[in-house]
Amino acid sequence: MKRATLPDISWGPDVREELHPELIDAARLIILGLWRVDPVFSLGIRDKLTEFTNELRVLDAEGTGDTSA
Amino acid sequence: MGLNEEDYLSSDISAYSQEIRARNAEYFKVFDKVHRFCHEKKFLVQPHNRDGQHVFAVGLSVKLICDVEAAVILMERGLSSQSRSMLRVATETLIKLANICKAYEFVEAYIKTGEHQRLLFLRGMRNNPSHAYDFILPELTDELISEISENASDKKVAQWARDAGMSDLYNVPYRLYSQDVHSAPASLELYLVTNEEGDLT
Repeated sequence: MKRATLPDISWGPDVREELHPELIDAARLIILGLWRVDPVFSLGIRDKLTEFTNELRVLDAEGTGDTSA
Repeated sequence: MGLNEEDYLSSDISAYSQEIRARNAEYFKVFDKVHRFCHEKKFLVQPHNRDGQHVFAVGLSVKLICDVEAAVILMERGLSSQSRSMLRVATETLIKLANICKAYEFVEAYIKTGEHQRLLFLRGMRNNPSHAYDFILPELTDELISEISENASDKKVAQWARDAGMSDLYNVPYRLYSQDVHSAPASLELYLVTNEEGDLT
C-alpha cells in the first residue's frame, strides 16, 4: 500500500459526509448521564433534558431519512 | 511538516477539522448546545465524601462528559474509528453511572468489581515470566492476594446494563462500537481503501 499525497488522499482524515449517528450518540450519552444523576443531586433539569432528547430524535430521523418521528 | 510526515499530529489537521465541522454543521450545533448545558450543570453538583453513592456518581458523571468530549475531539479530526472506541468507553461509563444512581447497593458491587480488576492485575504481574516486575513480587504475597479475593467479585457490562434497564444501549451501540475497541475486521474499513478493481490502493 502506498500513501497518496494531499489533497487527493486515500489515507488520512476521515471526512465522511455524515457523522450524525456518532454525534447524536455523543449528545445522547451525556443527556442520559445527567438524567440519571438528576435525582441524586436534585438538579431539576429533566424537562430541559427531555427537550434535548426530542430535538435529537427529530434530527436523527432527518439524518436517517425516517420521517415518522 | 504536513500530514504526509506527521499524520494526525500535524497542525495541518485543523483544516480538516473545519471541513468536518462544516459538513456536519447541523449536528455539531446541536451537540455543542447539549454539551454546554451539561457541562454547566455539572457545577451544580455538590457531593460530600461521606456518601459513596455521591462520590462515585460525581466521578462517573465527570468522566462521562470527558469521555464524550474526547470522542468528539477525535471525531472532528477525522479519527473516526478511535472516536467510536471512546463512545464505547462513554457508554460503559454511563451504564455504571446509571447503576450507581439507581441504588446504594450498586456502590458495593462497583467497589468489588474494582477489586476484581486489581486481583487480575496483581496475578498477571505474579505470573508474568518477564523479570520486569521482580522488584514488586515480594510485596505480592499470598496473604494480599487472598485478602483482595475475599472482597472481589466480577460483573459483566451486560449485567450492569440489564440492572440499569439499559440493555438496548448495550445490545446495539455498545456492541457496534466494540468492534473498534477490539480492532475487529469491520474497524479496518477506513484503512483498507480499494480502487474500482478491488485492489488495495
